[in-house]
Amino acid sequence: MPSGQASLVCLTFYSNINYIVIDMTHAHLGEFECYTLSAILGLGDRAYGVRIKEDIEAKTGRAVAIGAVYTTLSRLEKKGFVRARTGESTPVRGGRAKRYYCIQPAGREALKSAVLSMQTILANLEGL
Amino acid sequence: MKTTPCRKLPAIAGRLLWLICPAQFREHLLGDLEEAYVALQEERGAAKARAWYWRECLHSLPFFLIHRVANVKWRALFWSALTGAAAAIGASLGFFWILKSVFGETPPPILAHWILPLACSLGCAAVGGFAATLVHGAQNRVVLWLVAIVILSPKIAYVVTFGQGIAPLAASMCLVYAGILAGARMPRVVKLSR
Repeated sequence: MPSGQASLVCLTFYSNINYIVIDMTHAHLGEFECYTLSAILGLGDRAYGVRIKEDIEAKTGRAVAIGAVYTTLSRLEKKGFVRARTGESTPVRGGRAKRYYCIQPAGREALKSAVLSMQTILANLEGL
Repeated sequence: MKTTPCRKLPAIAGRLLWLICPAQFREHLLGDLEEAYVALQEERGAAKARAWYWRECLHSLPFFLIHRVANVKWRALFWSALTGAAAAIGASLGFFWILKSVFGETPPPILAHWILPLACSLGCAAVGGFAATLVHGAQNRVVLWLVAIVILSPKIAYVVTFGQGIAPLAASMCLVYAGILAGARMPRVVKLSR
């Protein structure tokens, strides 16, 4: 194989890898995932299950099941968008520990990308 | 004087959540709910807090079930299906003979004493293994034991009703347990052999 062709193959391979990496960081976010990420972002270091649920309810005005919040958080954690840490246990919680969540750079990027997509859609709707 | 509110959570709802909620966030979720329950009880009274707790529980169950199904180990499910096929063959063989004996056609003595209980035991063991594999795939040990009880009860009832005596009962129970244990181990064996 000529050296030029070989380098072209390498370049294509490299660009494909790059594409995959970019695609992973801009993974698609669902509506509820966006709400959850924005709630975590807003609550800062005090973001845990019930607080996130209350924040979403306050912002969207609709009832949210705690199960929906926890399963979404688990999915976001698997995608690498949030990181969880176990917090303190208090008597008011029956001695059970809290699980705090904080947003990761990949999650921030994904949220930003989702918001930009939504803004583009809204801009297109203005003409209607 | 302000009295300390009674923190008695709805037991059945709590138990239901504990059973269905995935183990990875069970403790945190129950703690969160208890915290919110106490706050709500102080603010709006015990009845409203109980109603809220039940509503949260019932609304959360579908999410947990979907989460469990989405996280099932598919390779383990394949082995479950295989065991299920064996269960279907074993059980249908056993129940076919049971039906024949129920409707008056007396099976030959050798069949009644050895082959029939053995076929039923193998069928039950396979059913137990199948159910246990499924339950183990869903990572819920409590349901595993419930399944074991549900499978064992008709088995014991059958053996007692048809008067097979204590020896076949003990043997068949051993077989059922072996089936359940084999089923419970299977996903782990599959995981190790990857």
